[in-house]
Amino acid sequence: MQRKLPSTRRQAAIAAALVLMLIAAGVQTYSLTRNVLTQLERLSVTNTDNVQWNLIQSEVELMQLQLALAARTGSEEARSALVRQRFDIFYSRVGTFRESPLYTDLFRVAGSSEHLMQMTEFLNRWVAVIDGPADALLQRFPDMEREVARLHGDVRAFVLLAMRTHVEKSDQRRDQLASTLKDLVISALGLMAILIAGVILLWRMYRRLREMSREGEEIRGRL
Amino acid sequence: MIRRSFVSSVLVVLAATGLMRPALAGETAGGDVVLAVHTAQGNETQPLADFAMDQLQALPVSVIRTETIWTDGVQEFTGVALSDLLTSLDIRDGMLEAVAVNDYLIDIPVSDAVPGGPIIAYLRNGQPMSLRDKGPLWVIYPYDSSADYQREEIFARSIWQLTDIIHYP
Repeated sequence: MQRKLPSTRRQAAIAAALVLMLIAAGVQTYSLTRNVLTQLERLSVTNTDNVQWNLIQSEVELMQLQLALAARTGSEEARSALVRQRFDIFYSRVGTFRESPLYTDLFRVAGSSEHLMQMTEFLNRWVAVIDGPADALLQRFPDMEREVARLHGDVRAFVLLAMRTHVEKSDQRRDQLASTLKDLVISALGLMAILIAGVILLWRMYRRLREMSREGEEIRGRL
Repeated sequence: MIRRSFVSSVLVVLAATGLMRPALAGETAGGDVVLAVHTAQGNETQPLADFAMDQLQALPVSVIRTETIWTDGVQEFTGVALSDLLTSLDIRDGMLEAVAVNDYLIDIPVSDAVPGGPIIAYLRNGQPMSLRDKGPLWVIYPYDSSADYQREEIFARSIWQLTDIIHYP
């Protein structure tokens, strides 16, 4: 009996350690599961519009303004009305970039805010002419057309920078989710290993107790 | 034809009672047309109704306070519920094709038009929306009210600078 006490104590210590590890692994798994659920919820409740579409449209809408300025057919009234409409549509698109929280991160990329500023300055410079009399607007068509042609470079650069940033952010989100899922799997496997170790330990303790009981009976039998 | 006749009769009755209602296409007397509704018949579309701004504003008013992904902070949008607009035109099922001045177009199922659902907004924070401000008409869903309204599909249906609706029965 005396010989076996240290072994029983060791098993009790191992059992206590296993219980502690089990609690730690349980807490870790719970935390990771919540993390995964949060990320999945974020994916299902998206807060992203089709950013790429919006970016590309800015180029398209600037080109439509350029085409409207270059058009030589139609009455003066119709031509100026079309230019006004195309200008306002482009204005609205740039306004979305300025106002929407979706694009805030994109402007942190070096250079993108400068290109956006060029677009804004162009719009601010021409808004008074657009809102002015039609004949004055018509006379300024060539000037505006030249400025629109120059602005193409800024719009193109802005779109490319913003697209690249958007793609990088999307990749980061995917990588983050994949990494959390990997951690969750490792944690779940650890939890299972601890449980299996616990079962083995309990089985061994059960066998030890049966052995001790049998030995006790044998001793009592001899007495 | 039966549907159009019915709609025409309703409009005439409402006009006769002094209530501002959509005029038949080409008959708008309340100012410039801001929204034209058509109905698809085979491969063709037929004009159903034209709305001037004051005619839209005469329809039951709905207000949505919500954040949007295109604007900063909570916004108050005022307009006509899509369900009210479609009810006034006797449109109960099918698909709508919404068209914007910038040539964007998107399908909106008529089933989206439920009370408490999307509106065609004509005021943002109490102010009319110009073309530069995504107006004069902007389809707004109550995004903050449900996760179901926070999906890319719904965002895509939130068409701004709306000019035309084509109903496909």
